[in-house]
Amino acid sequence: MSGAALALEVRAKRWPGATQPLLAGLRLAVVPGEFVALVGPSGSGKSTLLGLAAGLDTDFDGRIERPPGAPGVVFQEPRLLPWLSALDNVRLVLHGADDERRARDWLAAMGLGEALGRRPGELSGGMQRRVALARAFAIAPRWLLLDEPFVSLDAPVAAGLRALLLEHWQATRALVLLVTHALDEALALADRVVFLGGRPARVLLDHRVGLPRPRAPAAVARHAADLLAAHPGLLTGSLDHG
Amino acid sequence: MPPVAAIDRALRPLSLLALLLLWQLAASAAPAATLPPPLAVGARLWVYTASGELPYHLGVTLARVAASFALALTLGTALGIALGAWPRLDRCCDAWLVVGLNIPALVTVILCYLWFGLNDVAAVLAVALNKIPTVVVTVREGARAADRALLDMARAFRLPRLRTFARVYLPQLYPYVFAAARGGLALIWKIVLVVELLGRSSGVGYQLSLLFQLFDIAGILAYTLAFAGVVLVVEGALLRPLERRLLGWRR
Repeated sequence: MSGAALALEVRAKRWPGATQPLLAGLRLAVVPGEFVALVGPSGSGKSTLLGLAAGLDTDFDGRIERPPGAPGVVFQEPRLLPWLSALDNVRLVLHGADDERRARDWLAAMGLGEALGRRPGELSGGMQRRVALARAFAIAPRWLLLDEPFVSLDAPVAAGLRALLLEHWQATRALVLLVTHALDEALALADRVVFLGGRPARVLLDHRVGLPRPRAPAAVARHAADLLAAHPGLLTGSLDHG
Repeated sequence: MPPVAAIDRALRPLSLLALLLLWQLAASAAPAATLPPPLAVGARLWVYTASGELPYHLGVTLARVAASFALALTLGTALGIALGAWPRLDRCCDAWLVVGLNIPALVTVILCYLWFGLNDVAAVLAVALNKIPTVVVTVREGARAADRALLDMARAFRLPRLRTFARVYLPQLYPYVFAAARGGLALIWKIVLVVELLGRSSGVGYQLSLLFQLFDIAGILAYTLAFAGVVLVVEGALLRPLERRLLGWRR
């Protein structure tokens, strides 16, 4: 792999005291500019794997090669500092003299130009996610780690944020690893979808999404149906809220 | 200003006025030597102030309060953070803390004077030692409650350690540090006077001990009044605005 890729090799990851590992014999590589979605039922270790990639969890057996620089990270919850304004939340992760201008620009790009001075408590859930997205993009990362960033949002809000994500990913060509349990979301966004499952969890299927962009929802739905027809057990137990 | 806010704003001065009125009523019922009326005490306050005696002793006491307060809050916060962060250290120090919390102030004061002599260092140290354990316990609570999710965010973005500490971690402790500061100030005001009474020849506590020997109730009340005024000013002009600035986001 080239130096700018993200290469995960997890021989075993177990929680302290557990007899069976959560993840075992798992290999996953994402090349620069590639958008990979990680799909699997809850409890399959998707978020754990993302934590390993981010370097938040170092207690595992294996090896991880990371692209240079800090990753832009978006968590399931926005994780904004409640005592800072939207602007200061983004500035917090920036370095250099023009940090304020960069933070302003990214918040404006997310449609938050009017809300710079507001604290997270004064923003709607969707706006908080947009601040979190702005924060991740503002550091101009070579790689992005997204952990179900659009979960528990209204469908139109989530669709808007997905469009924003795609737009800025295409502009920056950062490497993206997105964790989601929604197959439609994965197929609409990613170049490749990696399915996790089993106990301990491993890669069930590494699927290249051949759909041209932009992808119409109908085409995505058809692709999902074809995929599930070919691999009936792919999402066992994970399609509850499709 | 909406009328409700105006009433809220007037409540504090009004309640103080009511206290004064109550005092006047009680004074008119009691003999003048036992409970002098507010005006007599006010006159005395004026005499003490004009002679420069009261400003001097009040200033000395305030300096001791400030020094003990700063020492107790700094050391207590640092220790509280350490104990909250390292559970093993916490288990080691827990028994000490319980002892520290329960030793009577008088014991610490007497021991400090015996060990370090009748000087200001011993006085300030004695007051601080009395306060440190409660600061530690309060701040430790905050350190234990620190939001791991936010700290993980800072780590994922690879923020420098100092920035994570100052901008992500410390602000989470402010509510606890403030609680400790308020309770601390209340305790320190009281102990400083005892310390002065026992081993210093200046300060409000020392003056009160002299007036006690002379059975001078008007003098005692004059000093008390000045002292209470300072407490209210410090609380209203320093602590509250600072709290509003740092913790305003919680509303």
